[in-house]
Amino acid sequence: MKGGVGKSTLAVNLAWHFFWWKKKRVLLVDLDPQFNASQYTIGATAFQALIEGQKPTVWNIFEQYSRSPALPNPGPFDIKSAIYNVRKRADGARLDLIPSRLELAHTLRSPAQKEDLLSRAIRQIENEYDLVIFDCAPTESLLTYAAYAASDQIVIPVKPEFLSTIGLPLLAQSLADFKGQRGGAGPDIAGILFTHTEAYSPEEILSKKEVKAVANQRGWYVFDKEMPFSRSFPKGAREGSPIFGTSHARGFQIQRFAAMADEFAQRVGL
Amino acid sequence: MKSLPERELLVDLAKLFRKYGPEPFESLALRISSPESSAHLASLLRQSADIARREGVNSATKKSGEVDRFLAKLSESDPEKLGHLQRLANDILSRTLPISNSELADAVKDLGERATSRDPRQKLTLSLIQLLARMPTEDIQSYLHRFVERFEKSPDRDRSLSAWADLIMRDGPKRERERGQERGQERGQG
Repeated sequence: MKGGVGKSTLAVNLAWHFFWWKKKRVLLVDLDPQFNASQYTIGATAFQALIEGQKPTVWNIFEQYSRSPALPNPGPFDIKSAIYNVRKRADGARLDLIPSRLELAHTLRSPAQKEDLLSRAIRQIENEYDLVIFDCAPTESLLTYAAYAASDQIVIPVKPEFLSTIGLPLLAQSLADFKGQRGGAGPDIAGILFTHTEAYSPEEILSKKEVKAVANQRGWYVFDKEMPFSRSFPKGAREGSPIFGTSHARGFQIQRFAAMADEFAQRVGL
Repeated sequence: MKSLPERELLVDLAKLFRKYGPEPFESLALRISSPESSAHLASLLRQSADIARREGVNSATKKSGEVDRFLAKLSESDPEKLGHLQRLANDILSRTLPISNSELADAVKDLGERATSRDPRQKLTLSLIQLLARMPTEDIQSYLHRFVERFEKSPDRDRSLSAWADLIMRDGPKRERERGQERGQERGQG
């Protein structure tokens, strides 16, 4: 519900962490028309090849039944054709990506009856993965509802600054609306995760206090571990590496992320 | 108006006149034209000048320099602690953190060192960050949380997350789990 809180960085780094260190089968789904997670994960050359080769993306999941001159006979879509393998290991662990593309924004112009297409598609392959991570766009839309419908749990990254924290009730209300429409069915809030935290900042301390008070009032879990600010995260995005593979990343920053990922695993039952 | 100081004062006053406009000057001129006010003002200015000469700018710069020197040493020995303490020192010295000298002295005393509210702010700040630097990083973090929560003003209700949460979450501050229970009861009844 707020840009710049580190959603894509968190999603990509969690995906790498569980693939590399925990030997899991991880699928990362980029649900943002800005496709930052795709840019981070596969880089420009591979992305261009993918688009030029007309390899399906997450856009095709939402538009599989949309009739157009280019696609006069639309029909059911095989989600496996949209999966791009980023890395795999001999032990079976792998990191896959369903990339996004700018044209996903066009989907938002005609959202009718599309919010369940993603969950239906994911159901076809969910048994092949230990963890599926959806990297959402910052504004509520069809894509947010599609992510709710396809998820068991959601993690809410919050940058502890006043305006950023207001994204928390906005997202929570959006989720409540979604569940309300579906008789209470929908994902649970796995927790609120503070991102971009610094060593010392009064505004940050006050914001955390406020978030914890609201979370306590409403029964939401707040992660004990955080994703602290580190120059290694943007550097890692440029290098196409998770923080543990980023050049000159400090050991204590890598350890902090790993500790947070462990708490995440515990919360989501991984 | 022959003397140089008078001419310099006039130039300074002209600058201030341009900054503040004519009204404050007129009302101030009326106030200080009375003999009592004039004497009182002159006395205050003399006292301030004496204090400034005794402990003023030079001393403050010197102490602030000591804080900087201590932080510079810390940056070599323990850069992680520096991240915590540098901004704390800046916030206290720049008064971004609304803590009085008396409260600062109490904080230093709480950590086991002698201090009084009459000590210069720079000295108190130096003492505080020196004492904190002896703690493990985790203890510094938790100390700073308590410290800021104690001295930073709580946000106005109008500018608080809880106000926005109540406004955005349409059912008011009701717990998620309570809603879940209600839903369960509804289903049970249905």
